[in-house]
Amino acid sequence: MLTATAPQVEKKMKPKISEADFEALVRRSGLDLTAEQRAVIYQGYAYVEAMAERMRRPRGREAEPATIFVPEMPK
Amino acid sequence: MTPLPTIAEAARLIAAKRISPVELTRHCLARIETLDGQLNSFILLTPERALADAKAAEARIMQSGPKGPLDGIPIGHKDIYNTKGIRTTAHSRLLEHNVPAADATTVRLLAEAGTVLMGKLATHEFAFGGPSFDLPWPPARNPWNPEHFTAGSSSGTGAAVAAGLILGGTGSDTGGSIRGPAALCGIAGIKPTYGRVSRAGIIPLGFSLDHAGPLAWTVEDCAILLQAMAGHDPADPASADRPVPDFRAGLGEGVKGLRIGVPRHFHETDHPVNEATRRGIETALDTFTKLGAEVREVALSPLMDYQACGFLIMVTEAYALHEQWMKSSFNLYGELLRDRMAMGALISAADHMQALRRRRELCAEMAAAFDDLDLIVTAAQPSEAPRIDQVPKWANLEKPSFTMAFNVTGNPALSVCTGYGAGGLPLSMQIVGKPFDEATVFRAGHAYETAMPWRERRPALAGG
Repeated sequence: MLTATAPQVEKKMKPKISEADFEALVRRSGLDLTAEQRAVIYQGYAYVEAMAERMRRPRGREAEPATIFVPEMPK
Repeated sequence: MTPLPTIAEAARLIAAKRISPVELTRHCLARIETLDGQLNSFILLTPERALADAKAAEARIMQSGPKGPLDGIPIGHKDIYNTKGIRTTAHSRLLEHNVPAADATTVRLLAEAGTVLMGKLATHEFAFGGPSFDLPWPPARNPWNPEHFTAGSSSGTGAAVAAGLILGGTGSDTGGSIRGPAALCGIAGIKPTYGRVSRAGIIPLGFSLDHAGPLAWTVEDCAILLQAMAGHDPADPASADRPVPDFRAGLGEGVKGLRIGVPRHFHETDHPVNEATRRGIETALDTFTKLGAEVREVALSPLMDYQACGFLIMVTEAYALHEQWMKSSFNLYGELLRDRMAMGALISAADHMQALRRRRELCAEMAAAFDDLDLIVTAAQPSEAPRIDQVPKWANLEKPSFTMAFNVTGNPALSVCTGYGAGGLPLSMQIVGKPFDEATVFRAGHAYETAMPWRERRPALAGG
């Protein structure tokens, strides 16, 4: 799903999660990463944190997710 | 080197017995032999199968005429479409020797329509990680300039169609993987409505965002291909049991009376496109106005809301599919795929659920916007293709894509060429319709395409 993006000149975002907490998160996930791999993914995780933050907003209890449940399974 | 006809032109020539499917197939094979060393669009060429298909089509046509406009037409399938007895790799070391036992539904439908299977086309690894240089096969390159990117993940299809190696092909689109390559390779590509085309037998990336669809040189050719691919399939739980209209019936009706909304904030402030792309979109809107459409501004949520919602859902769905391999065989994946996919392991269930709740709101917003609109027009890409070695690992996290919004909402969306930038690389726009109204999207795309001269130009490398 990757599209084009002009070469980036923006300042890189810094993750809010500490490196130690991120390491614990990776360990809990079960992924077996080298320290170098973990460091690269840590940098990218800043964008994921920002995306998740955008999804958290005040909404009523009745605001349901966009999942569709069809009770009659096809045979 | 003689360029290829479009599917519509070839169908007329075949019906008039002025060209035979075997001649056409041999011509495509010769072009592939000459050009694909520079483009890497094919992962696997199937010349024996192609000639067998072409001979069968020829015999059929000589006996009783073509069964339809795809009879005897050479195409290729993105290498995530299962092909019975033919290796299907998802461009990954993990499936390097995978040979499916059955065709994907769409592969079967296109074969039944009489197409000639030329081979399997490059993708980004599992339709997600690319352009990668650490896989068993190199990434596809852009025929307008092989130093430049095709976009992905239907990269081989985009390159092969633009270079005139095949007349059309299949793609899949989870966040823009049909429309991106169509845009950067200067061709047409449609992501149909979610549920319009079966996903059965196509290696999934994100279940609730995956769409299958065609890429071709013209909008009309996309309509022809989609006609064969669309329809209800009980083997796909998301398949919609809806009638499939004749997508070509209204192609000549123009855009008079259509109401077109333009969320300029998407491509002017949320993710500003370059000047050539902006001008191309504005010229297209002027063209629509002159042809009788009503064009007006529309405001939607910020583009990054759609991108964030789509990405969080996609990467968690993708990780769920790959979790076992990601844990056991992390280093067998290419670096781009594994680093991007790892994010799916690190997103909480609560954050995933908030994205699903946001998705419902965004779908409602889009449906409301379409209450008094027939189409939406915005960018498909921010610019012409960048160099293939200048694509950042986190590209789609840093800036929102223009395409993901319509994977989130499921609306049909078409990428169309809007001319060429200073470096001779294609420019593009996106035309979006109401759910299950691909016919109006095609109608507008065809009206624009036939009003402009862009289809007369082919990449220089391909004899244009």
